[in-house]
Amino acid sequence: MQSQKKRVGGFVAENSGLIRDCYSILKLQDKKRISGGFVGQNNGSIAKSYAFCPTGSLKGGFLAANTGNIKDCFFFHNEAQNDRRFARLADTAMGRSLQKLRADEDFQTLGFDLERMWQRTGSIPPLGFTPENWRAAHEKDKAEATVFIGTARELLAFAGDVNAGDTDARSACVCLTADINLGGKEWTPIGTDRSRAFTGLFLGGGHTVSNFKIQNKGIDNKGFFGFFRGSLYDLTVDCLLGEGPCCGGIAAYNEGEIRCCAALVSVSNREGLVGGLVGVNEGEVTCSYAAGRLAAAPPPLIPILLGTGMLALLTVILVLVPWPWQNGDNATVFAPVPYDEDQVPISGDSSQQLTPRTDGNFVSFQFEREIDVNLDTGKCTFNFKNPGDSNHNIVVQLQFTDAQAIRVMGSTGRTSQEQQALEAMNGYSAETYRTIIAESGAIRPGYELSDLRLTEQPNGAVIPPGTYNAMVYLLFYDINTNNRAMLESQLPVEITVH
Amino acid sequence: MRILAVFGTQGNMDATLPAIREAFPQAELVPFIDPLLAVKHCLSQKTDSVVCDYTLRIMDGIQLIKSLQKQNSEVLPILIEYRDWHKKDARNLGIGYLERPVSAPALRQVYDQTMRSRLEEL
Repeated sequence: MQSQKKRVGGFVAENSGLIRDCYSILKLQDKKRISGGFVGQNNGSIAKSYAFCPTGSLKGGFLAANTGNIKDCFFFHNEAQNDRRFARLADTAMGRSLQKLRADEDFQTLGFDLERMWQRTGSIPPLGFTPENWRAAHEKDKAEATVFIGTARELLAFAGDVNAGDTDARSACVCLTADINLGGKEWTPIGTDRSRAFTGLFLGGGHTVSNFKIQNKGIDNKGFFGFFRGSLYDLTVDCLLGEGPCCGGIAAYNEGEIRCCAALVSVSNREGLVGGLVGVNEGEVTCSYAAGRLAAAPPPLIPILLGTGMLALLTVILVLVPWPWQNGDNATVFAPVPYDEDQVPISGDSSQQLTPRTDGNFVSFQFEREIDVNLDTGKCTFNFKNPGDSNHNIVVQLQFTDAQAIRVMGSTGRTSQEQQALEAMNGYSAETYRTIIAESGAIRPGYELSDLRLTEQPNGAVIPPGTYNAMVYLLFYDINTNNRAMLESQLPVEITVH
Repeated sequence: MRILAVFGTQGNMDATLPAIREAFPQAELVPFIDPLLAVKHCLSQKTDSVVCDYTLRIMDGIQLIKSLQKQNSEVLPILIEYRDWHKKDARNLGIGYLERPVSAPALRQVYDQTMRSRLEEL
């Protein structure tokens, strides 16, 4: 049996086609597969594109392996210039420190067209598309449309027709007429296999298809499209993808053309080829981006049996201000941290299900101060609630100081190279630097999350059974703009590991 | 008349070659996916015109046209893109510009305009 090395890329896992003027801003957490911030394996051509993501577990900041052509492509980072972690990346020469890219001219020197295609945001992502030019479809394209889709029911019916082998549907000119929220439903990709691939023209009209998931293990190729061989313009998708041999937010396999599209994804996948926008690209992708999180899934879950006593609820209200460099109207809206797929609406007490406040920045939250960590399930039970009158999404991290991590786990969890690089930096102290041991996705106002997921440590370190002090660290994101609030909060907790 | 037709993908080539054939029925059409092979061809064969995608492998369409014109400044270039994103650059360089989908009359019109502009400059 032929062994195949699995690839992961922030934008595309494997590329044999053409990619131009694209970017990815995904958080990649996968140390087992060959992963690149933008592309895992490139055998085609990529030009004028960039990646921005933490390089901690990556083989390459932009790409992991290359036999094709790369021109004017970079990965941007915020690390110190002498940081040793870059030495082990496969593509260190493609790295550019954002601290040195402060003006339009700096990016133009790199080959990015800031007159028409790109604009500097002064934020994250550092470059975005110029809104007035980020549109691929012509009016004459719309005039050719034969299928108009404006509701979830119409979209599901269309997908069903394509997958049933309806040749008219497969080659249709489709036009989305509204944003479509699929209400968290399981989605069957359009074109589940190559023989049923969509070959027509799909005009997204700048609309978003959101809130769907593909976690059915019976579906191999996970994406809004499974196999795609047509033309797709101006579509954004926002979704959750699970295990499967090939995953991509827009399409698992693309042999067509994709222009001016975006994928906001949260992927939990341990084995497959995974890309933020496309899994395997053999077609052409231009002016598109992927954002979100790609992570190896946690170990299989078993039912959790927990004692429910010792509830010590903590409620906090904070007034927040946005980061000063995220200038309101001009800040690019993107999903820095995807919604946690395990969150559920707060049940029971209707007072918790309030309307988000609009009078300034307001958050409140509550959780248990004693956290139960089950090593079998990989879950940390803490029953976190973000009441409905908050106007910020909250991301929760459970942290040890490095000193505590060394005492408990025998190491900080970083690889020896990462640790050496960190210790070489001025100001490193094991008492102030932190190791994340568990982390959530974004928790929306009006939602609760019962468990955090343990984070896989890069060096494989695990927490042994026992009771320890730790810190809960909270990050806040505005629900409308996704701007990260300047104030973060940390609170001491006790964790019991068993 | 020999026309090089250089495209980024087979799909674009399949969609565009019929329009070029219809617009220039007497021309010898030489299609390429690899732009370097197109440059190599131009070194050894007289070429009158090039019709190419903006998005190509290895280089973009404007770079290809510049490379071809280094070999032969007489080559009349036409660039194809989906939008008017590169129209200004093309105009400044005396390159004909067409947006997809390409039709034979539109291609012929752009070719004639570009030829006229060139003659006026002379």
